[in-house]
Amino acid sequence: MNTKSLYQNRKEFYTDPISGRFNKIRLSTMSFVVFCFFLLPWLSWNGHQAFLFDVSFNRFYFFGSVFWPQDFVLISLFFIFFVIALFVVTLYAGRIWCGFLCPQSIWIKMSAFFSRFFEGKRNNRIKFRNSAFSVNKFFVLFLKHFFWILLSIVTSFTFIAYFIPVKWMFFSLISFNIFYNTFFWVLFFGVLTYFNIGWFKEQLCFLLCPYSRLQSVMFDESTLIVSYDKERGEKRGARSKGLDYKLEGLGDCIDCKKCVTCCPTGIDIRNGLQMECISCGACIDACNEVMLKLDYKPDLISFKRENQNFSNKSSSKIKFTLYFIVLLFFLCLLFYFYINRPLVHFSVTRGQYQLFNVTKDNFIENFFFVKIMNKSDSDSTYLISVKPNIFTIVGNVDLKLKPGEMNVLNFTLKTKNVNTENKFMDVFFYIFDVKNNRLIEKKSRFVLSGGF
Amino acid sequence: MEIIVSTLLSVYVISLVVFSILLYICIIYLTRKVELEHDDHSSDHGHSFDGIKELNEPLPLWWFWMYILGIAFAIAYLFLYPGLGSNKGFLSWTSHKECNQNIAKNNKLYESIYVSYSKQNIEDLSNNEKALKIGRSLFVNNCSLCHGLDAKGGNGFPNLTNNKWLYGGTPNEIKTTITNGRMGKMPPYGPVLGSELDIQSTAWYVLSLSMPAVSEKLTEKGKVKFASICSACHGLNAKGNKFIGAPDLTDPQWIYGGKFENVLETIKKGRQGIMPSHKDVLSKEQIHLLTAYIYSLNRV
Repeated sequence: MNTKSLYQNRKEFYTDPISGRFNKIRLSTMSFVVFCFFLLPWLSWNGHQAFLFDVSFNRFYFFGSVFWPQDFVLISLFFIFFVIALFVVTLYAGRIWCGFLCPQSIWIKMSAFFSRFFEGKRNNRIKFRNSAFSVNKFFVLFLKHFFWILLSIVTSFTFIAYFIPVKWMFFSLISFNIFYNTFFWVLFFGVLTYFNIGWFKEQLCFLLCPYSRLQSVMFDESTLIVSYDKERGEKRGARSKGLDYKLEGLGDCIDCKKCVTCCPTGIDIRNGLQMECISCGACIDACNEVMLKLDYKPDLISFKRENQNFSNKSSSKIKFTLYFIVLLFFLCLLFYFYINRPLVHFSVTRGQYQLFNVTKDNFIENFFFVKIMNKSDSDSTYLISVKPNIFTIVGNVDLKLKPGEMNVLNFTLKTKNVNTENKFMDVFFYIFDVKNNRLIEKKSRFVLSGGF
Repeated sequence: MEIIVSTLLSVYVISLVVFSILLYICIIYLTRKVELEHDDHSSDHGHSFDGIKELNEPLPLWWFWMYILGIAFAIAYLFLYPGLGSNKGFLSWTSHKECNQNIAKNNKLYESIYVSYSKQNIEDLSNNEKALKIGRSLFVNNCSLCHGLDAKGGNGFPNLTNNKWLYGGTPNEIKTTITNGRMGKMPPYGPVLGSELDIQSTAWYVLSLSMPAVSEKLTEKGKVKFASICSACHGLNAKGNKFIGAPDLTDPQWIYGGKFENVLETIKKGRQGIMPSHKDVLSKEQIHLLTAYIYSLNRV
């Protein structure tokens, strides 16, 4: 009986370079992303790195704002916002994120560039791959892998620079004063990147990225997709010169397979929309080149909506509007939380062990720990006050803190001549943030008498 | 009986673990291939819904290697760590050991700070804000239970901020008190002093030492009794004795309360004050910092 293995190794495919309208757009958007990725860690703001997830001090710098673990709701809101934005874009324009902006596509393209540079065109590379081992082959392979490794290390260094201050890393690197921890992570992500751009490649999009699997939920008839005009193209095939191919029953497609060989995910777009398609438009460029040469009409393969007019299809329009409203809602929410995020961490804890204390001159005393941490990025003074007015504060009532500094104040409140029938009393602590002009309130309890 | 139960349990766990690993290996071995019913390589299950067919398509090969890696990890883990019943594993790892290691690591981290402070003398340290911050947190965690968060003491527990000391207030004396602890004992003198009137008179006399307003009539008998009995510890001038921890009775500071009833009770029934030893709880360097903190509280 026939058997089939249920595990399959990756099939290598060899892409040809293309040139054309979409390739130009793709190159410019991709260069922009790469430029931002490599530049961002080197910017600084007010003496700290402008964009930094400081893992050792648990804070996230984003230009003038500092976020603390307590502000994590903001970051999760941002991701929710981002996901909804992806839904909106996908509904309207399909997977243009994948083809034009996604780092995975960019790094695959860079890796393919090195392959082509050292091994030549598609046919040469297939021949090269199957050729016997020689010094020349070793040398070419060595060069290719060397540049792959170089790219991986630079990428992983930059990636780590988002978590560990880049200047510190850079100077420790050039002075050979390398710290084991940092070095380990650069190497770790370097190896992963090398593995990714050298072998894993498009498998990430097929097997790991949820977006390709979810796309069918986000798409509808009005979504912009790369599609092959079957009616015009079929029946495909080679044609002889001088004869009218239409009389032979042939379509516009000459089956040159250029759209297949240029595809970065190795699919044949003529089989219709597939899960693997990343909407990069490479096949459109390849086909248009051929169509131009043959003097046929262009756009046999093109970005198209199944339902030609987006605005006429009412259900898509409603869906799009709804998505947009949700997107706006989250944008407002994000903005609201950003403006109102606490710039100071302030907590009041009752002292341990002792509920209250009666002094010789008949004052009732309670102890509190007041913890204040400056979460803003500038020095500030904090004034502390207590309500109701019957309490006297023993200890400091103002506090100066540098950015990120924390102090715990020991606070004694005392009062006299109060009705101790109620065993407890609510007491409100206020701090006034002088620099940011904000008043923050915390409630605690004052114990007046014991016994139950 | 216990041995039988623990052995049986161990055997049960071992057989479960070994069985499940073998089961995974079998499943992966058996599902690596599928037999094709037709020759079209599609291996259709025959299930379809709304035009969508269920096929038996191959997984990526690296996925298969991940399974193998997972099993290898499990076997290596069971070899190194406790997992097979009561087997302790090659590394004989326990959470208790790891905890101790982490404590030692943490202590090592702060050792240099403590050591550098322990070389400075206490008078200097009591002006050092950083050292006092550490001292304060030691105080809050170890001392404030009795002496209060503000170190002002309470009923039965001495005030540490008024510069009055039972056992002396020099840095060395404070250090000895913390390290070795103290046992203060005021014996019950009710029967010894005689009649109720004598006891009351003694109490009034003791109060009069710090409260001149008390009339001499009340204290007449007490003065005699004090000179003959109490002065053995508290001294003739009632200034106390720091070697046995007898308190100074001439100041208005009271550990057990300064009202007439309180003093009367103290004389009649006696008192016992125990300051526990801290040499097993805190390190020498920690006690040094704590002493500096307590010393700093008494500067005016």
